[in-house]
Amino acid sequence: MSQLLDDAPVQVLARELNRNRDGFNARFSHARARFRGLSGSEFHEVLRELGAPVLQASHDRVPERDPEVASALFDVAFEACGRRLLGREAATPSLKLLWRDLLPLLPQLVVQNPRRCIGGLCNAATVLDAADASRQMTARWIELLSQAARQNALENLSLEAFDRACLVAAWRCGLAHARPRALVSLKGLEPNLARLLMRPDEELMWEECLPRWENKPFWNGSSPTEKTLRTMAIVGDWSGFGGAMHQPPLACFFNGRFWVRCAQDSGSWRLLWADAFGATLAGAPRVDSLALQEALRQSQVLASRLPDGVEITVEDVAWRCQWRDERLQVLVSASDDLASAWSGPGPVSSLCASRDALVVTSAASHRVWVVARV
Amino acid sequence: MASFLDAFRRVPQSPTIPPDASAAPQVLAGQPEAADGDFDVADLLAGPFVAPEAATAVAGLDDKLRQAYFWIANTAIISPFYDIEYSDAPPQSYSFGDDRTRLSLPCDQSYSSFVLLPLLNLVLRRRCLLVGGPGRGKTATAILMGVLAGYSMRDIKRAIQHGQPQMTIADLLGNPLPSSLVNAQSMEQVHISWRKWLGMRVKIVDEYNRIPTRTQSALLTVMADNYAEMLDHVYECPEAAWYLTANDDAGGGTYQVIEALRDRIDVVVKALHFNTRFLGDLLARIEAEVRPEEVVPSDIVFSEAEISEIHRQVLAVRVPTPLLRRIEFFASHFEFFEGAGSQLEYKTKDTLKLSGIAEAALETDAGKDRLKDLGAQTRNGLSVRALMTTLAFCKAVAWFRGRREVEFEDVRQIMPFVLHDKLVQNADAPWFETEGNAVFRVDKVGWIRRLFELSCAEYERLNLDRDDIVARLSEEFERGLEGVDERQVRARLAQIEKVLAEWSRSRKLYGHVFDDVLKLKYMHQRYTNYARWLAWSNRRT
Repeated sequence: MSQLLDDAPVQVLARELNRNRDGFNARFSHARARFRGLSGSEFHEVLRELGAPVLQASHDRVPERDPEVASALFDVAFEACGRRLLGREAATPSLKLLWRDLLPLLPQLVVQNPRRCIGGLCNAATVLDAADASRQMTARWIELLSQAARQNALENLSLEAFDRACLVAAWRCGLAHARPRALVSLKGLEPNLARLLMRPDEELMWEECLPRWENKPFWNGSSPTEKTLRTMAIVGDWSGFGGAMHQPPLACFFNGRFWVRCAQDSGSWRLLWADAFGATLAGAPRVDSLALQEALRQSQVLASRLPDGVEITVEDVAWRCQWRDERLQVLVSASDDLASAWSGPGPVSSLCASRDALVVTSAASHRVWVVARV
Repeated sequence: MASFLDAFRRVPQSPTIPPDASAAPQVLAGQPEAADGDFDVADLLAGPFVAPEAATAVAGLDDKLRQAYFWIANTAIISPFYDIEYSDAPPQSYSFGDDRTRLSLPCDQSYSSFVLLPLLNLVLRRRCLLVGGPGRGKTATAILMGVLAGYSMRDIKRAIQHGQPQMTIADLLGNPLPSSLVNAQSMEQVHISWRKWLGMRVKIVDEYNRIPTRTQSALLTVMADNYAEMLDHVYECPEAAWYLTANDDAGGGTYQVIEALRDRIDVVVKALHFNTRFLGDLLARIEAEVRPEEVVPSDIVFSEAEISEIHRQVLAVRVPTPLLRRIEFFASHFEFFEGAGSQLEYKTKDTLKLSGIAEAALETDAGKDRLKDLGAQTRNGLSVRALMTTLAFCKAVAWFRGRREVEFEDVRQIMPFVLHDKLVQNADAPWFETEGNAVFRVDKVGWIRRLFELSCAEYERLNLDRDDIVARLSEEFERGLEGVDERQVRARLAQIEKVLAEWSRSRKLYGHVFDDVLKLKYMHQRYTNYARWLAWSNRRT
């Protein structure tokens, strides 16, 4: 720790650490007992490069809170470095982005409850990382909140309101399974902030946006245009690459939700959440497995009626489905060619639809295609 | 140092088990957890770093108690042993050595008895004995319980009763104020300065087996009847959780513990050894100069009202009838002793004990299989208090696990700790001579658990879940006698007599048969009285 104090370019951090030098050193020893690989130099680098600007920002706002902010930064940095989420060997850049780009912009929130604010945001970043292996969702989320902060939209927020803003931003960035609660949270946000986060077309009145999002999952906030079929999301990956699928998945529509079977094991079901902003696979509740199996069988039967190969036309689907499933008929009533909307490899192994979307799986892929009319 | 303590005081905020295990989402690694639109702010912001209050706002008292458990098991105690094992699927197990000692890896949340039972004792307000060698954390655990109940370290230190050979009743209970003693004209005018610990909701008696016998008797009154008496003055104590410690498992020590006092102990927990693989953690603790009882997080401290509410919720946990029947069956094995009396009701170990005659002198060979007779393994039966305590702790552990009713495994896991000092082993029983059973002479927890398993096996062999004539007759009887006419009563009496006649021809008299026969006699007597009353009232009309 002495090295940190000697090298720390930011005097505020150095002073705070120095003030409780023995305590911080003891905490470091304790953290090292938990995380055997925790490197002192790496931790030092994280604090100096990422922690110091956060403390500096909060110091500029409320210097009396420096001890609490420094303490929280210290604790969360331990945890993050120990878990290899920060530092040179970090498995993901997300926390670094968060500390570098967002936290220094939130001094007013940090000083309210440093541990809760910093820790909560780090938790959120890891949740988003888990939902999107490409980490792009997390990066978008950090950027969206940063933009809101730069426009002073987060300035006078309570931590509770900020939590709601974080949830809305997460949904807007693709955390589809957050949609139901995010819609509730959205109503409680100040309209200016809500608009900044959701970014509907400027000419649209905010009052007309909310009902649309509630009723049309695939409306992205733009002005209405001619409807077309479009692949909205391709989700899932083989478990060998860190995804959820142990085998090419199968999907069905059951109890008002899309269900995806990830493995032969009867318990390996996921709920597929999809809307205009993204799609995620989330944990599924236990249900009557016989009814679910029957729904899956119907999806497979539907798929088996399609011609082999990738050349699937809307006429094919319409012809086979108009007497099977009227929801599909609604979906495919547009004259576009489904094949142009769906670029997956064939043969199609299951096919199912809700009022708003069509979900397709292929026997030759570990992914799930979500096609919607937008 | 204060900051280090902050880190030590941290309690993981995520729910310790899913709120409703049956509706728990099935989650694959690396994927978000959410089911049916339940994903909330708390799900986004809770995690390994720190959880917002939103994450804990909905947590119930059971979750808070589990948080307390996990804080103690993972932070305060360095090497906990998971000896209360739960599995929701067949666990992976391995055998070691020539004795084929088994290690199983439970696949459901399992617990350390040394942490769990004192915690349950706290919410049930019972009496817990912590036994084990010196330096194993018995007193520290007892103090931790005091802190969890909201007392300051200062209060607790002042209240601990340290057993020692010179301890007097005045040391234990208090003193008459000298001034009032001199001036008093009657006993009522004497003022007693009662010791403060008597009014506390957590009572700790360290090394209780070093307290002189006379003082133990005064302690007994407080423990058993919840009041203290001195010079005609009575101090009513509040309901409290008791923690007693002893180095000697047998209750020995400087003074022999009086039997009545031992009998009041509800649950016995062993402090197991220190696993040397955790020496590094111990070193970190030494270097940081941290004593867990001094850094208990405020999040896991319970108010009096919370403990009362937990107690209420625990009592509301159901014991399913089939499970209760198995507990009844288990308990029925032990009291019966065929040679102790000529009349059936007196054929009990209690009669034998009161006579002072050695058991061996009265043992009869009534054709019973002494290996199969579970009653032969004990020198006593189970008291009402022991059965009540068993049920209370089973309810408590079920509640702790987030269940609304007690499960078989709750009984199997908890019963040995409750009956540890209640069921006196007959180490001379032939069962202990058979291969692999000698170890149970020493391992009482294992022995009681084995007894319960054997009892359940016998219960199943007799097919009592489906074919239990006494249960059927009892059910019929408990529906009440109102409206039952004389003809029906006669029919029921005939049925009872028929069952008894059948059993008398074919059945050996084991403990469970003894209880069944007496129950049948009881019902027969009630029906007989009712029939006589019916006959009398019919004559009158």
